[in-house]
Amino acid sequence: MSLDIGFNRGPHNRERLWGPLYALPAIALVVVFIGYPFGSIIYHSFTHWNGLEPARWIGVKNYRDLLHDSLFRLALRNNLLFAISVPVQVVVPLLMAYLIHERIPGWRLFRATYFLPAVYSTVVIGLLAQVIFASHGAVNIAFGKTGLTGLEHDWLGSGPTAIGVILLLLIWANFGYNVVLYLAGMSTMDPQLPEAARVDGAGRLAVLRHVYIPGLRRVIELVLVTNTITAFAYMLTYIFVVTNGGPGFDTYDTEFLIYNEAFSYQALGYASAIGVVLTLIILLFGVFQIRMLTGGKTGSA
Amino acid sequence: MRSQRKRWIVLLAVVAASLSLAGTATTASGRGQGQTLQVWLGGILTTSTSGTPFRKWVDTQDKLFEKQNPGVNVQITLLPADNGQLAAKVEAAFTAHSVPDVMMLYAGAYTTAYQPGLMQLNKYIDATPGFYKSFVPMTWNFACTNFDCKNGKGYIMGVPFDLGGFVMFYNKALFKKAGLTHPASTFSDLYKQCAVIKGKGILPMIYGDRDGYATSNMLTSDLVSYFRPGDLQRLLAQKLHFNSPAFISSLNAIRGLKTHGCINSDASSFGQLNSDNKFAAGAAAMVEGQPQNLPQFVGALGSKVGVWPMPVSGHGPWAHKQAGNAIDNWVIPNGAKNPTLAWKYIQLATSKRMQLLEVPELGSPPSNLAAANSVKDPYVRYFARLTAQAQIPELDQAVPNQVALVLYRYLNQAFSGALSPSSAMSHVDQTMAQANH
Amino acid sequence: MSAASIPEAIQPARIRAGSILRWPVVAGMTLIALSALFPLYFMTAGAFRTKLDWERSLVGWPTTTSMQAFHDAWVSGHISLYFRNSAVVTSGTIALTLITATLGGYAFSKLNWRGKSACYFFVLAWMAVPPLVLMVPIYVEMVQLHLMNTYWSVILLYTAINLPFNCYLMAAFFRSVPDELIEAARMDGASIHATFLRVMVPIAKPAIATLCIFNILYVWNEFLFALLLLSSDNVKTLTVGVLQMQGRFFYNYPALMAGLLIASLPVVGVYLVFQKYLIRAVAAGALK
Repeated sequence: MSLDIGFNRGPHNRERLWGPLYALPAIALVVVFIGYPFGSIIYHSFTHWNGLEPARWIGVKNYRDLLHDSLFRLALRNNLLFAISVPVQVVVPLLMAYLIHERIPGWRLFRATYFLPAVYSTVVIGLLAQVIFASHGAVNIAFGKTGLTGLEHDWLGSGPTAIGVILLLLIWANFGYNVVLYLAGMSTMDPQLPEAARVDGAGRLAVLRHVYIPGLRRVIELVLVTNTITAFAYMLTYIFVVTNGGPGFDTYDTEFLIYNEAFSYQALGYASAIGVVLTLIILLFGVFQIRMLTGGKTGSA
Repeated sequence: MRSQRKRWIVLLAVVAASLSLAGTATTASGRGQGQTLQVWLGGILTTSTSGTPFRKWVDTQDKLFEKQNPGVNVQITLLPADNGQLAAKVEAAFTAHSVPDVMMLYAGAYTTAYQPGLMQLNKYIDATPGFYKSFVPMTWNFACTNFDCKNGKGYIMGVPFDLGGFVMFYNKALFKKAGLTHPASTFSDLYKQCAVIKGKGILPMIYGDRDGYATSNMLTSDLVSYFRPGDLQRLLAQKLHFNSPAFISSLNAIRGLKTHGCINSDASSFGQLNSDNKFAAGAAAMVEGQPQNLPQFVGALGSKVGVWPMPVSGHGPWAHKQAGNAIDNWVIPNGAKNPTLAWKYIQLATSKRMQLLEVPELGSPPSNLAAANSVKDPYVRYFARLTAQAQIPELDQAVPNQVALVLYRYLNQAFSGALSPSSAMSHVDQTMAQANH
Repeated sequence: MSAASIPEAIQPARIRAGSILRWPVVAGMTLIALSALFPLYFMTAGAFRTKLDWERSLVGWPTTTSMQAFHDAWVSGHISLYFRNSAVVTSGTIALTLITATLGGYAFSKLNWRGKSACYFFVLAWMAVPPLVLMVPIYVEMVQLHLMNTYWSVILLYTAINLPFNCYLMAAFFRSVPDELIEAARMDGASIHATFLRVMVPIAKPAIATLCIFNILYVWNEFLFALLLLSSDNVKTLTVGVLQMQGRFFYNYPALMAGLLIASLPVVGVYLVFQKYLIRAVAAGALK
């Protein structure tokens, strides 16, 4: 294939053909299995729908009800609380990845086990959490034995501590993913750069700060965005298996609310409205974070 | 490039294999000979995984049905045991108009919730003489709209399968150790018993209220001693409120269990199933329960298992009556492909023969009258006698679904002290108002 | 994998001795490593207990040993059947994901075409939708497409749900590959396809390994949609099948633990394999 002959032939023209074709399968799948169902959700958010009878158009009533729904506010607040863990989930795994990369003593053990928490089914983690944090569970027993009886508590029996337990599980189960991402990112960096810095006498922290972090900017961005999304959109299983939304309503989150509204209350229209609002919130967070990190540069990430 | 080409070949082979395997997946409905009857099992039969006594009953039912109807293949799908997941599956199926022929659903509000999607069964029942009368009368109310079957003239959505109620299970050996013979009948006497039992170093009662179930069961049982005829209908019509003297007194009596040291300190975050397991392991003298717990308890503790009516705190006309419920209904969804076959299946399942088989496996009294009267198992006979006196249904099955779900949580909070009883109950009233407008 | 096999130029520096922070850090990481192993111990200990022993002590060493739980799980739980189903669904999804995400990632990063940025943003934006929100429409859609109770329903669905993230991963990775490599291949007369297959994909091994690990985990453990879309035993996956063992009135915890153990081991195995591959790719100089 000869190159650069005239305007109508050559590599760029072929890219204009093959680019879209390469992207087509991905775009098609996304449109059919995410876009189209979401369109249905948007439509149904303006209806009263119990799934058994045809949907009835009611305009923005669902959204207005949402504004006055105190349970929705509580659920959203809990999601925000979950999102507070995100900075921890961005920074700590980065440090861990760096330590593995730098072969700190014990790195082999660590490298073999760091991803394990992510592998376990959330059911096991939830069951374990129920057992360990129970009133007569391992944690309280440990406190008792070491004389710290003041710290004993019914961890799952009160709202704030129950949220804390769920947060702990989230961080523990997820950090492996983030470490993998950072390690993969580090592996694609030019090894000459840190080497050069070291030769110049830079200490480990300096190398981290000035060489790795700038080079890993895109990975950090990804970790930040995906972990924030998790705090809003992937907490359901944890809540299910650890507290089932309790005690009372204290560990409800928006997803759990959608689930209940849709299936236990058969308010599919209302649930759709909550879903649309939740998606918008996540989008806003995502856009905000990317803007913040890319310094306002728009275009493809 | 050799290893690279090899890797490509391997990758392509894997892809080809996976995709072709994926292609061989069969769809659920048999496209073989004859008809297929799609049966979805919710309610008590969600736990009929193979090897369990429930499954034995299901298999017997299916074999018999297939024998009686040659050419028919019965296909069983188990619904999830978790209420939320079950609702998700059922709701989605109805929405997509992709429904089975027969379903077993929890009775009461759980059936009522799907009323628009269920076939009205009056025409089948009327065409089968003697059918309606062959059941324990009280059970029909849980299969009808408005909880009123009007002797068969009301809107019937399902056929009841079994009876339930609430009882206090107790460990006879532990009671003997404390010098007692059986649980008290009133709360005030129960508190005294707790002190005695506790004095012997035994946990008097294991209470699993994480989901609010324990308090809900105790409340329903106790309300029988306060209610007057017609009070249930008044409650459903919102002429009687949750935030009213009967409910508050009852909740205070139940909370007394905590203050008198009857129960485990982490009751409000302890799961009900865990408490069942603990009782079966001999760790407590009493636990609230239902007939379905019987196989597990007897299996673990044998003849040490004792049964007694629940304690009450009120002095109304029904103070010695019971709260009860029909636990499961058989229903036929609208749009079922084989409704006549489905009706035959239901008839078989609720026949005296199958119901008598059900008793030893499932532990709960049958809804079929003849079967209920010929039960040999002493425990089940006791239950049958008890629940036949039921005056009001289980509260959380009588109110609309969304109120029930909220009710559990508010009861949990009322019991734990996070909310005062009247505050919790007024929240329930608010939800009731929303649900009914 | 000894130090000698790693090219010297990129051998990481040793942590200097005498660093004050070293021991607390090592201790912390060891604690985390131990906590990572604890569930494995918990499941194993639980699986070997009898049901009554479970009640007596959940965390301590089992006082009874019984293979009953494994038997219950394997026989009653139909574990072998569900295992096969999970394997098919997982490998099918991974295959489809690899194809679509690498092609798409390449298209969005290294190829130039009109509308590229818009399409890319379009695909990425869908990451914001919580899949749970789409439960009912997807169910309806699968019924309409006659895909209920087939492997294809979940394969297509899982691939689609994760495409935004996967495309981003591949695109970001490809973008970090210097353009000179592609120019060089083009100079040698390679077509777009050849460049893609022979140059980009081999370089992308760490990203592909990462992709595989994440997606295998997601598909293997996914519960909600598998519950809705796969009802018949022919296609039901392991996660749904094992959780079936939780009943309303019976909790056969040891069997549940046995089931979960059986369900976790393959994923642990996959993780160990891929993790080595990831590190090996790193050490061998992925950029070469």
